[in-house]
Amino acid sequence: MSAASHLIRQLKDDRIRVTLTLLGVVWATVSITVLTALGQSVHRALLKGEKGLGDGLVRVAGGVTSRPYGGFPRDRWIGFPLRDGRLIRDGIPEAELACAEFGPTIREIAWDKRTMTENIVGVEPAFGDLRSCFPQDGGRFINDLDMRQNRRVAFLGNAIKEKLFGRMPAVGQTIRIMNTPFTVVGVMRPKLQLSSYYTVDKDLVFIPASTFEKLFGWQHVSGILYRPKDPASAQRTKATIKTFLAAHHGYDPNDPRVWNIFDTRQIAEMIDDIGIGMRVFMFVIGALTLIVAGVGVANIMFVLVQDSTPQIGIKMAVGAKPLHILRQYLLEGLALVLAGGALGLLFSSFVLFLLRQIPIEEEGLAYLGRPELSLATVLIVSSVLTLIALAAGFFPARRAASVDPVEALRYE
Amino acid sequence: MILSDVTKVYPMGDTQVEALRGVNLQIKSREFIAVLGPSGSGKSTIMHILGCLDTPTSGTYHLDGAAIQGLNPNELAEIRNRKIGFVFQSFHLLPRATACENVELPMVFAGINATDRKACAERVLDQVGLKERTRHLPNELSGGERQRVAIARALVNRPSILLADEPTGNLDSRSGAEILALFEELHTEGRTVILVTHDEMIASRAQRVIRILDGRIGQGSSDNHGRKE
Repeated sequence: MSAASHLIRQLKDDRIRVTLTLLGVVWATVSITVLTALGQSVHRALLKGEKGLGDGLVRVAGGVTSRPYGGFPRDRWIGFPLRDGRLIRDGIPEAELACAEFGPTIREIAWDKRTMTENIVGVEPAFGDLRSCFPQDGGRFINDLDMRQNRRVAFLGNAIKEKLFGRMPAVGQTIRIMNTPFTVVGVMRPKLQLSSYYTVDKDLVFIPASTFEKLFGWQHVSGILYRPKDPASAQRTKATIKTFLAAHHGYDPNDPRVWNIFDTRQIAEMIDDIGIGMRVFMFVIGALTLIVAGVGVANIMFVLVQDSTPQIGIKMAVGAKPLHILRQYLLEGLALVLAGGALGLLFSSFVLFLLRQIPIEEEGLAYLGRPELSLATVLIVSSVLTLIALAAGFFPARRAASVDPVEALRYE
Repeated sequence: MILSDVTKVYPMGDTQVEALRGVNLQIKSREFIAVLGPSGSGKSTIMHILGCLDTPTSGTYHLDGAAIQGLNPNELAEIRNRKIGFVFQSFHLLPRATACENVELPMVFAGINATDRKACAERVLDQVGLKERTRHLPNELSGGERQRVAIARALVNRPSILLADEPTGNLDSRSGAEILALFEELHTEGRTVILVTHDEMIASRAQRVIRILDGRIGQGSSDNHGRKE
């Protein structure tokens, strides 16, 4: 008689007890599966959110010198003018999409009768791609013509657009920035953005850098952005730009204080570590639940062994070796746990399906991501289940195998 | 089967119970033996030791020339599986298994495949007159039928020794007589049959009667050999 068929007969006899144990395993499987899947999707969402600032983005800003250089004293302010963006773009091809940005500067903007104080930035066209600021349908980002002609056009972060226009279409409307009229040419498509160096992009008003320079009279940009063409040689690209800017502005290329660098790759690594930590945490909670279920399984297996002591005696009398008995109860424990596990996985995929139906436009929920039952999760959960089943089955099985056949036959 | 100076002591609470006190016994192949004694005399203990379900506390037991004492549980299980068939007073069938599955059991542990097992079990059930009852569960069978299933199970691995502990104890007289006739037939076919009983009438059917009292082989153990042959 196979372990499975024996278990099924036992199930009929002991319906309530076995069903409750099975439910425990199902519940624990659902917890570990859903938690593991959520951990995975939150990790993915965090990484995606990190990319919202720009995938592989590096930002270089000027600073104050800490060493004398070329006859100049220390404590000299080094700033980069707008043209440096173009110089790097043209001179250092390994720095992709290099561009300069001005701002932010907090100014009054108005439309119709509404007036607000918001962050204004001046950017070059490459900024859109670099920072994943993509226009919604019917609009566009700042372009080269806007730059060349110092046009008064604005690209609005989606939150600004909501505040200013509500549900009204914004593209084509004229807003006033410090009472200067600007035509709205585009609105940003909503994106998940985890980090920023002043404020998130949805809360910004973007205007052409050339217009910004003229309007506000800034001599130096706030930063130069680029993305290394080849991530593998990112360090070399960084060094090239460092040398280039130092030579251009006459300061010590190794002066640590001038060179203010912000590298999203480093942040991405940190976020990745947080994501991994969280997944481990979720998995451990799930695994603990599963261990509790394992204790339940061990408990019912002990009862099973106790109840079937006479049968164990009979089997031994007709020639069952201790190993046969051990194997039978191990397999029964395994069958019980794996049956619960299979049901649990089935139910988990349903729970995850429901979770995916939650609308995640909401900022907080966005970090839930879209949890899915991946093959990796199934494999991990199955191996943990098997381990727990073996552990839960082993001690009852060992007790069964050590039954004295004479005693067992007398038992009744 | 040779028992030399065998003792068996069971711990029972704080005291030690001596079930066997120096038993010497020799059973030849193809004998039909009755072990006769009142309850508590130690006759079941003799059967457990002869059947390798238990080992002596002291003394030696040789089966087919090989020493049994000192064998590990796996080796004992192997001997029980191959050489010995048990029949018990209360049948000891697996309650949730059909007649056929019960008979298949010893073959499971002998490592025989499912198809052969089933064919063999059905053949042996046919031999004991239960051809039509193979799919029934024990609680759907009469006492006599259950004991036949137990005998079929004892026979299925073709053991040379058949050990029966009060095999007719739970049966009405007619079924009991049929079962005894079956044991006689199995003996005639060439098996060693050892019947443990407290009933003089049943014991008288054997070739030789071994009387046991208080853990010792008693006076008056008789040889019915002449009468039976």
